[in-house]
Amino acid sequence: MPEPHPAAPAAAIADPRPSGPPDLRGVACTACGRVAFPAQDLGCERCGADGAALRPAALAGTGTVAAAAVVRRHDGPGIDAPFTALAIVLDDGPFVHALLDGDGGPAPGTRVEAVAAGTDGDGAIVEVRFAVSGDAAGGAA
Amino acid sequence: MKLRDMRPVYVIGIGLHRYRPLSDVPYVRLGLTAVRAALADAGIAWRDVQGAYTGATRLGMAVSRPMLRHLGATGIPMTQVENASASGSSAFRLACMEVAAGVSDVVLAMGVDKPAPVKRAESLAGLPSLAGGHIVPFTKYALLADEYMTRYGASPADIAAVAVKNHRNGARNPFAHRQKERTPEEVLGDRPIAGHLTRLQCCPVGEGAAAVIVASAEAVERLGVDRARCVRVTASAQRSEELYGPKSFDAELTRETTAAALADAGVAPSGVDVVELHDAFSIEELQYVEAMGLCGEGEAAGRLRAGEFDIGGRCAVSPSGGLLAMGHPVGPTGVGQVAEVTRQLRGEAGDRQQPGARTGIAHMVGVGAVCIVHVLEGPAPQGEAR
Ligand SMILES: [Zn+2]
Repeated sequence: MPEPHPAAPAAAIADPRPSGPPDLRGVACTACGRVAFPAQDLGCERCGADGAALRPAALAGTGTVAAAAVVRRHDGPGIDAPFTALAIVLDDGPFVHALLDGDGGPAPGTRVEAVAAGTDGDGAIVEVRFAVSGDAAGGAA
Repeated sequence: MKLRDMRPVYVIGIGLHRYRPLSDVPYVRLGLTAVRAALADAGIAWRDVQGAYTGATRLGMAVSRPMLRHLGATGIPMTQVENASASGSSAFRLACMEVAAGVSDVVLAMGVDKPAPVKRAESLAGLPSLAGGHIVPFTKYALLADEYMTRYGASPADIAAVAVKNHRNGARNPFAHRQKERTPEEVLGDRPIAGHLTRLQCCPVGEGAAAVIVASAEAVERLGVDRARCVRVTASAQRSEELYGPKSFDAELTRETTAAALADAGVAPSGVDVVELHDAFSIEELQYVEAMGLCGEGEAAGRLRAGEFDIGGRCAVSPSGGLLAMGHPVGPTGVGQVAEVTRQLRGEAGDRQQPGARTGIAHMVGVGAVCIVHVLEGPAPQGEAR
């Protein structure tokens, strides 16, 4: 029996750069200026503008940890615990939940950067995690 | 228009089926137990009820009539209500609106549910995320706990203290899923789930049912309902999430929805005697009592430690045991809160009675995200004018 809501194929969410962390595929609203993740053309969450008013925006894959939690158990299929969940304020503004590339729980204020964790057949990045970045001691933006 | 400016609405009957782990008892039997108890509590008959709203989330389509027909098929309107964790709160709000508007005089609001797999519509929006299915409610609240601890210097024991209090209250509630007192050591030392949250700081999701009957003043008179046991619903507020940036949207939603409800009721936060709130995870209570204005930002842990939110304290928070101990069967939860607040405001809560309780609030948030707050006011003590 077919699934009533078949799962969509994994969408590309980030693009590699020649050096440094990949850019995240976000959206910028030309009507109100809101910048958000992920990319979408359904309508701006702040002002409701849609269509051509919404432009793809490359968001820097860098940010600051707002909170971290080591997850000890998870009932979801295909998800193994433990893993570390992060709340991150991206340098370009959006607030996102993501997974840590690594163990433990980085303290709030820790600098993190995106790493490609999975690509599709065409090399597009479909899974991103965040790793503690080299400038861990420095400038929480 | 404010509910208070419409026809007065009173809770006249409450009934529950105990919240408990999943059993093979059909939902119909759970629901009927609660409804029959509510009818008996009000002292009215099923034929007096003119409409029914049923909160349920995992029972499938059209839950009401296969259950309610066993009370006698009277042909009344029956409507299923789904609003995630706030489904029962929405059922209650719709019942209140129907009476306040003068469409009906006596309406049943109930919730019934049993655990089953559920799909969240947001996952069908066609939008990717960075963490996907890894972020479930307890993960989100574990992150909020980490952020709260960092901001206010709170300790894991401060957060666990919410669970200790609510398990103590639940131990006195015969309808609670968890009826066992727990020490701080037991709560902190229990199985870790996510971040600092242990199993005993996460609500049990089982089965159960709750029912509340609301009525107009005319119906109270006509049906001969005991006025001294009628609890007036003085405000109903419901909001959905706006854009709050990195702030906890549950806390922000709670802040604005509670403020709207208290303003409509003409009550200050300091005038609230009893609160039933959405403590699905221990950290939520600390955030919400602050967001509700029951204490200042960052003060909740200290006030809790001082006993201000205990039964007998300044304001009893989750005297039922809350979601943490009474449980969270989802569909019934919001209705069960109204039942507890009603019991408290009638002075019928026995050994978990908040002394002198006159004003209470029931608060739920639901994924999506929505927030619903009701304000209830108890009958005036003997000899005092309403
Ligand atoms: Zn916009």
